[in-house]
Amino acid sequence: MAEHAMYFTDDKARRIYLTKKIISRVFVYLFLSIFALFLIAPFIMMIAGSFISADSFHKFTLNGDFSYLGFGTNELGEANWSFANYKQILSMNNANYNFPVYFLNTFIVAIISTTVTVVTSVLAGFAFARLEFKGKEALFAILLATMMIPGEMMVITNVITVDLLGWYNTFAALTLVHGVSVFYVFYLRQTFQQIPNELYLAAKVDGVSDLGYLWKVMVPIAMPTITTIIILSMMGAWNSYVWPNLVTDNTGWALNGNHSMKLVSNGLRDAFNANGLETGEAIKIAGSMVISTPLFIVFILFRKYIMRGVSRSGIKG
Amino acid sequence: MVPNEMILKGNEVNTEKALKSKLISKRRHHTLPQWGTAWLVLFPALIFLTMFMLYPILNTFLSAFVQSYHYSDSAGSFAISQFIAGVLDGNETDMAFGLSNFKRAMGNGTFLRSIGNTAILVIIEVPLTITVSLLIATFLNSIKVLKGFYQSVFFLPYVTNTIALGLVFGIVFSNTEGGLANVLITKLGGKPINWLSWMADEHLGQAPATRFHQGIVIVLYALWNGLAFKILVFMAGLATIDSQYYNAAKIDGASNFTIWRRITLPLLSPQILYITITSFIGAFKMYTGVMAVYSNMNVTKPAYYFGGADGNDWVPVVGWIYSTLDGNRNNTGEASAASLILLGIIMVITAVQFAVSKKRVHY
Amino acid sequence: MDVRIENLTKTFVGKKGVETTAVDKMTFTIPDGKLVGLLGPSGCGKSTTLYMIAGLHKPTGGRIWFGDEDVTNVPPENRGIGLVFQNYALYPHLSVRQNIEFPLDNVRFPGPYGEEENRLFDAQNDEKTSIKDLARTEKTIAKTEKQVDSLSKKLESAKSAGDEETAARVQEKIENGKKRIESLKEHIASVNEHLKFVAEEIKKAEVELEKAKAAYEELKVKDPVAAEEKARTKLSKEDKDAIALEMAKVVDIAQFLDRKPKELSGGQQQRVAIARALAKRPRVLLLDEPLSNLDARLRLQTREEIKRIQRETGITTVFVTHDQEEAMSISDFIVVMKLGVIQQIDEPQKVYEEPANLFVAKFLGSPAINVFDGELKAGKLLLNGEVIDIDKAYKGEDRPVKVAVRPESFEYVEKGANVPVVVTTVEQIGRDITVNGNIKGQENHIKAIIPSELRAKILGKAEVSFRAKRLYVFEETGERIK
Repeated sequence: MAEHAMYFTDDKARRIYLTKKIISRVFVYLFLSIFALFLIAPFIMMIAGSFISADSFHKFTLNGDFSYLGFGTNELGEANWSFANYKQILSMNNANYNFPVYFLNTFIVAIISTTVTVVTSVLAGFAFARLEFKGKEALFAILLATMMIPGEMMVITNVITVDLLGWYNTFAALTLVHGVSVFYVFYLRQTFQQIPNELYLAAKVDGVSDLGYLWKVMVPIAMPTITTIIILSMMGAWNSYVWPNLVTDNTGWALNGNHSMKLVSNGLRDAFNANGLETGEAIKIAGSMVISTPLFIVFILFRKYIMRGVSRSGIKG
Repeated sequence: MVPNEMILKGNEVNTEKALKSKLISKRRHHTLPQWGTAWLVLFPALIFLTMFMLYPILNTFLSAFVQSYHYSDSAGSFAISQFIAGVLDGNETDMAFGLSNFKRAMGNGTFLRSIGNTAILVIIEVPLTITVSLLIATFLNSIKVLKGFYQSVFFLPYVTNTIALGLVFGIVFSNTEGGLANVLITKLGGKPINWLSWMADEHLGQAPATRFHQGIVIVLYALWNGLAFKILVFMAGLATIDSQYYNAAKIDGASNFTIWRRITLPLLSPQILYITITSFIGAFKMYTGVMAVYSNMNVTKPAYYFGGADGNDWVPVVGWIYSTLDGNRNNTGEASAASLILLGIIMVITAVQFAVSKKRVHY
Repeated sequence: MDVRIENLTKTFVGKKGVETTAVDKMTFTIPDGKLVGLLGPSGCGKSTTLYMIAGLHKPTGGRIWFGDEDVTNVPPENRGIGLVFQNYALYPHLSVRQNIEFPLDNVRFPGPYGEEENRLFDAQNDEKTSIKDLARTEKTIAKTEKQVDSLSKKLESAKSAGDEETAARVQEKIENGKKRIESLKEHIASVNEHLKFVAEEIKKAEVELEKAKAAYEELKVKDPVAAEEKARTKLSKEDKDAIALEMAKVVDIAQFLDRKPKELSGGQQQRVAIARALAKRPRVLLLDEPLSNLDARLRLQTREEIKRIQRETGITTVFVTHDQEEAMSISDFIVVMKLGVIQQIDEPQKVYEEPANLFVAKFLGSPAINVFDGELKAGKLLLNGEVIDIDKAYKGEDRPVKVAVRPESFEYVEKGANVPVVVTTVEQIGRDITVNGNIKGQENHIKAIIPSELRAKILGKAEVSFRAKRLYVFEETGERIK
């Protein structure tokens, strides 16, 4: 609303209006900034804490003495600010704790489960969007019903199924059990349905089979949605905790001797335990940083995809 | 490159054929009828769906009602096969259906406490988070400068790893090391508080952390995590409100607050309803969010530690279910019964919300 | 390649078994190399007919022939047609060139005996489809007969209970059921006929195939180079590019080959769609309301383009439209349709000047033809009691009729004007004057267009009389009376 276009009875009225406006603006930004600070604070903590030497950090928090935060070396002769924590985190290795391995596991799981999910979702979304077959409505209703049941109910049985199949501590358990996501099927179906019917007829006249149409036309057109799904799915694998916790542990998998099957979240939680390592807080923070950094990078690169996908379908993968 | 020239250079004979000769459609072959393609294409999804979704739902219902569900390493561990085997054997105990699992669950003090815990957390956290995110979304919608920056900041928690950030929270609220919260409090002249640790620290003169303090940290963490998604949905909803409505109201002399109360909120009511329902459902299923703030605690079973000497100060329902299951697979019956109770609670609350919403939601 | 349609019928069964007949026993022939317009209001079945010619809809009855080949049971991709849609349906993720080349992935050169192989396959497929059709129809007949049986029982009980109303309703249903069975039996008879014909076709095709194979063997011996060339079936990238460029030049979008569809205007996109349809050298080109999505200016431009392209390529073309001006301007023939039935097939000018019935007369011409009431008495045409057409004698008894006169057929004459019009408004649009009014004594609205020089004679008058240079007389039911 342009002030010059507004009509004021006199100068005083105009000044009152402007003052009100400025006050409300200030209030808005203040409110937003307080909460933004609330949200950012842990990150600042994370970033700062991971670079500061464990000893200095400990001493600073015990006394609130800011002198420990200065640059330079501390009493133990270490530099106050360095990569030392990171080096420690990544190099430590004992039976209960092995970060690089957790990374590798999580990476593999993310890739496999995303591939499985994307393939099944694309095919299923295609079937519901484009193909006609008996039982289509019934099957769709079942899918709908499944969405409303909390996953927690299925976990109980799935744990037992995993045991029975001998899938405990295997990649199969981590990737296949959540192989299909009904949300993604719906999301893709919706996207596929938006492709005009005439395109299908034109392709049919040109001799393209149904599957050919999927591969040559529908998938390329729906690529943005598929990309969003890939990103969200990989994020989901990276952040998963509950399910891996139930089906993996450190006792390992036969592939190359004993090799922990834990994923990063589980690894982080269990690492600093009675059985694990007693370490300084700063090192733990470095561990958190190491885990969170890949996600930050993904966020920075793909912010638009993630935000669009989340607001459209309301899911976290 | 002009295609014309490209073609004339080589292969002149070939393209002549292309331009002059007849074209026929590809070799005829018999194709699969459409329903064949459909079922073929659905096959992988259906297998996963059946094995890991439909069957489990069925099994959970069954095992909740089977009286003496016992887990063994053989195939008899599926509730339904146990039932069938029982029928074949004439084994009465194996076949019996009943509510014993439910009785056992309801008789378990920890389970009851978990329901209470969850209820308290839900009642506090959900309205708080929704209100704050609604306000933030409204304010965000009204500014232009730095809007993108703030949006990114508010969305950051969504992409963070729950455990990693829980650990950081745990450290911030630690009563020994890294306790920035306490540093702040002491700087402001107060006494440091034992937020989370169950151990009394005589050195610092602190008693074990009270449930109240632990609860504050849990709620703060839930708020921190919960804002991102809600703000996003609200902003998407706000964006769909035609600015014409605002203009018309301004012409009618309405104050900003009135506009917010009588135009924005009603027009936003579908999103508010959606968020309310999903937030309540999600909050009742809370598990990782509670467990995460204790990430810094040195305990034997970190996945099931929820504060206090016995780890059950703030145990949530889902946490109880999983820890029961993890402890002894024979508890499956109890765990299933508990999950059905949870399902029941959720459905009742959701139904109530729907009923209340009929009058207040405008589409 | 001429297109022949015989008794083509399409019925849709909606919810609750309600049947709608979209196309009802249509029969006509489209001569080779002509541009034919299917014209009619929405719901007249023109698009359905087009889609049946394309093969996207299966006809409920009737046959379709491309030349001497029965294509009724041939799937669309094997018929050799090109289809252009109202909203262009270009693949948005492909460039213009890739769009045009898209159909070329599924075609090939005939090769040494490809055509004969295809012919045989088509015939065998036809047989299979027809046999399935028979089986299905038999089942439907059995089901309907059962229904009729149970309905008869109902009728019995209704009659004995003295329930007249229900009895009448059930009776009607039974009638419908029996009619259904009748037409289904007819269908079976025709399919059986067809099967005999197809069996012949198969034999012929097998023979042809053997001959072609033998000829190829000979050729391999005599002229290996030519044989090899003949054997090449796949299109290379250069082939495809050459064809794409050629098509692009024909429709005049060669400069856009590397662009994406969204970078082009509506008219340009439509031309790309035409190029894509033409790329595989179809035998028949089909267009479904190709100009409806374009704005008025582009419409005029593009329809000229379509005419030019059709002339240049000489492909038999059928297009569907509801715009009579469009159909009139570019078609060689117009097929006027109403509710699934052909009203008239003729050259545009003839349809305009010699309409077969009232519907056709009203549908063509803008502004619309004027219709008012008259009567035939003693063989003469009277309006408001006065004879208006002295020379002609009409046969038949005295009856009321509808008289139709085109706006431009009204003539202002000093003497002998016998159509009195009560004037409501007069519009002058430079070129001519439009007189709006109604026939004296009737409510029928009249529009008359006369040259603007006569302005002075018309202005200010409350009532003007015209002479009808040319008029048409129709029965109350709509047929033309000559």
